[in-house]
Amino acid sequence: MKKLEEKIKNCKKCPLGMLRTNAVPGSGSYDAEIMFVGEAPGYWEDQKGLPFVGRAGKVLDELLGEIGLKRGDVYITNIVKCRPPNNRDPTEEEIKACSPYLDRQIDIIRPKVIVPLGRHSMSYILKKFGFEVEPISKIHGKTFEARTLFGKIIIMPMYHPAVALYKPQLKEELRKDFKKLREILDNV
Amino acid sequence: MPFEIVFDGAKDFATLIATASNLIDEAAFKVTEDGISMRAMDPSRVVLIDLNLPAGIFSKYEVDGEETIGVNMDHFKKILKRGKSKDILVLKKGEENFLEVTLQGTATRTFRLPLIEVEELELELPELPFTAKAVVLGEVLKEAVKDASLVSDSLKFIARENEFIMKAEGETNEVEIKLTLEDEGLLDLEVQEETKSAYGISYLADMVKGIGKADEVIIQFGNDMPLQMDYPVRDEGRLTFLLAPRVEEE
Repeated sequence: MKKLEEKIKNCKKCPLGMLRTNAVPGSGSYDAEIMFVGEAPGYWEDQKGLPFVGRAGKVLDELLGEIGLKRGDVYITNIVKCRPPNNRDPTEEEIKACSPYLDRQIDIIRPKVIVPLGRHSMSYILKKFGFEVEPISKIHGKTFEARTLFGKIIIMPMYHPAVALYKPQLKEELRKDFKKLREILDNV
Repeated sequence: MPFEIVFDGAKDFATLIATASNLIDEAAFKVTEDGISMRAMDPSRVVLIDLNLPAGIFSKYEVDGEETIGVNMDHFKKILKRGKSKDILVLKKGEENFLEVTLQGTATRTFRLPLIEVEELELELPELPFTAKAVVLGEVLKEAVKDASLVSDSLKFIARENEFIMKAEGETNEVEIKLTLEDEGLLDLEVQEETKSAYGISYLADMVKGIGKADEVIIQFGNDMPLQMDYPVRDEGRLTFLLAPRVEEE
């Protein structure tokens, strides 16, 4: 994984590689049972080279803490590893260029549960494992079971933690989904 | 590292690549002095493909050292499909980052395919404790997959003493393909215990596309375990698939 992370840090496969301060490969345990996949780094992530270290990261830490998890217990990454300018959504081309890194991270960690955070991440992960994509408002907190050569992987899409910053009512939805995640983790 | 490899019967090679291209978009081919190999998984990690083509199956094999070339499988397939059965296929790489694909028949047609960067799959083939092994004729398997696709999206493999069954059950229809060692289509059967497991039809359909009707296909599986399918390529070569089992509806 260290070799892969190094490769990501030096990647120039798409124009975002020229614009970034730091690439953000991911952080956490390489033996994690659960993997969180966000969309793309923001300003602070780009500055520090670490995922979810801005305001949305604080929300994520709080939600993890509420179900008894620390960052060191999980692996956190994004589909796109470099910051898109002005925090715009990643483009299809950027996702296509960058997603082989995420695929490889999933192969190495072999998580039992993958939590895509936000609609782009949800869409990529669900399609990758052969599921139909529906609006995140409809399927957040629902589980999808993929049977792979490495065993069963549970996919549970959630809202991106940043929504809690501008739509406080959705923080409650996130909280409920995290509680459900705890139950799943207790049973895998 | 430059190389020049010649394969008689361009169409056979095209079928091989077409089979793999149904499951993977890009592939890293490792070209060594011993032969060509490729290992890849589909994006959903349900199928693993392992291709092994030793130098002996090629009519000319000039390779010094070792090189891994990444190709877009769809583009490679489309080029190879232009070849006819009797055409001679020449794969050549010089110092540039291109693969030259030449089809020699009534004319000499040369395509240049740009090579791409592909992550090489660093994964050993797992040794799985299979409890059943059946050797069947390619034709039997191809027909069974076609039969099953009419009624369901999964095919159950069942192995008992002296009996190998493939069964698909839909909401209204079902089909059962039964083979015993008395049947021409079943060449060998080894069963340690009664074994049952189901697999997705769409994956199986892609996997059997490249099998010749007279090929001997080795199928190994275990209860709720991946299925391994091996078939020969020009005797010495081999194409292996590993397919994850389907989740059984409760």
